[in-house]
Amino acid sequence: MAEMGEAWEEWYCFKCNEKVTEGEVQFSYLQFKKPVKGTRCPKCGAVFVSEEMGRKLRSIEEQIEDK
Amino acid sequence: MVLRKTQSLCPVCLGKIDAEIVEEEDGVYLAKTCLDHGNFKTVLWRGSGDSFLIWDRYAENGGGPGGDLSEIKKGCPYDCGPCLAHTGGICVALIEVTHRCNMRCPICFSSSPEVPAFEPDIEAIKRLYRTILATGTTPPLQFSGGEPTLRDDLPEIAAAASDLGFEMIQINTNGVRLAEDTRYLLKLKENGVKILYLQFDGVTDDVYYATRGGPLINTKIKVIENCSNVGLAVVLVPTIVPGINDSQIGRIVQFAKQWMPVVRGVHFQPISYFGRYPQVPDNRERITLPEVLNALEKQTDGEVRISDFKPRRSKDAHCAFAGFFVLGDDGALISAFSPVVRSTSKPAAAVRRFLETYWSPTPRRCSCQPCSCGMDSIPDELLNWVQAHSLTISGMPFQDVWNIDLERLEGCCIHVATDGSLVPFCAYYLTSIRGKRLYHR
Repeated sequence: MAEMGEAWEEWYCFKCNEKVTEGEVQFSYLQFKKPVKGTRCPKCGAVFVSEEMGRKLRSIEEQIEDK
Repeated sequence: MVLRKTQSLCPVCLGKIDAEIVEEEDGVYLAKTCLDHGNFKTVLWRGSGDSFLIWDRYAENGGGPGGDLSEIKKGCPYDCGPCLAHTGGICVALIEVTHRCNMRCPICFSSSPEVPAFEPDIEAIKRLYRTILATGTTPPLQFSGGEPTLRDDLPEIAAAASDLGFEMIQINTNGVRLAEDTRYLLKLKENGVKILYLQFDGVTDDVYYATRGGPLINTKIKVIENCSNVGLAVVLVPTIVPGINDSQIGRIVQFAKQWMPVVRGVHFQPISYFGRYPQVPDNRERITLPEVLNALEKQTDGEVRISDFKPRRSKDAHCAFAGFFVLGDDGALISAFSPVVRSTSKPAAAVRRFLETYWSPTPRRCSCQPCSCGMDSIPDELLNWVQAHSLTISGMPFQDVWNIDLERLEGCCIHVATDGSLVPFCAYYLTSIRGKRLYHR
């Protein structure tokens, strides 16, 4: 994954070759649920998560799930 | 059947002697013989030998505490400083700020207030801080005693620690003064104290009559209310005594849930026999970790399960267990520990980070309403949510002169700071059958 930058309109889903769209995506973890603005493939629904965000969430996951 | 050979101490003369960890029909025992003082056999684990050995999978070398370690002369446990052989890191550092106490409990690991009066002045305490800092870390710091809140200058003592970079300052307290003196409590908070490590043996007064000599439940509730008002966190610390409060383990968890998020965790401590205790303990007067875990599952009707808990990552994983839960929308606890995720950080560092995150005061529960914000807000909001909805449940059996396994002691990560040295908790407070100490005072 790479940083998306501003021009997300130019990005395509690698699997479906569909242009991604911006809209509401549901983030959930355990019972934390939150709809936020995100970018997803209109065909398969895959949500784009930037590398930086992936790293942050991985770090939180490690904090929560391990001691 | 012998599961493992190790070394221990003679309860009478404190001499180092060979010991065996043996499986018998009803549990796992530490058996040892002193040529001068006879045979001793103490229960370690009321469960099968297999279940005892499974915890060894979590055993891990902690890499040592860092700093200036003492040379090995007589060997463990006589060279504490700690010595070069010590493998445990530092997850918590204790400082005894007073030996005075406003209670006289039948059971007290530090024998307060009978021990000779001693109260380090602020300069002596700063020297202790420097001893801890010399290890290269600023671990969670716990003021202990005696009853630390008997010192009117405790806020200044906390401020001095904050100035040196200690961020997670805890007070090990019975709560008696803090139930009444809210101005003092607020001053403690303003000077850097984050957590009360609150003696909390049960939810009814009959328990406190037995363990502490008087009714205390209303005092405990008042302290928790006060902490909620000023923004301090509370960790409930029950000493579990068979026949006295082992039937309240589930009710203590329910009590903790009612007081979330000001109550951040429950830390069960099966009774150990050092300092002051009524008489030489019989094995029937001991409760072991599998029994605490069984009680947790049974007395919460399966809301928390034995499989939700992990052993401590330490040289000997039998030192502790921990579970981490979030409160679901239906009011039930949900385990958040993963069986597959494993931290890459050193064990003591992982414990420090965990305590700093999940024992610290938390904002009030967030509403987490939908918003038009992007994903960037998720990590902070998720952490806030978890902090506001989480409860840790953990347990730690300290070692006394009857059940001490010196190999396990080498992995200890809780250290008491004394002048120029750090002494592992169980070595520091250990007393012989005659009350003789290895280090303490």
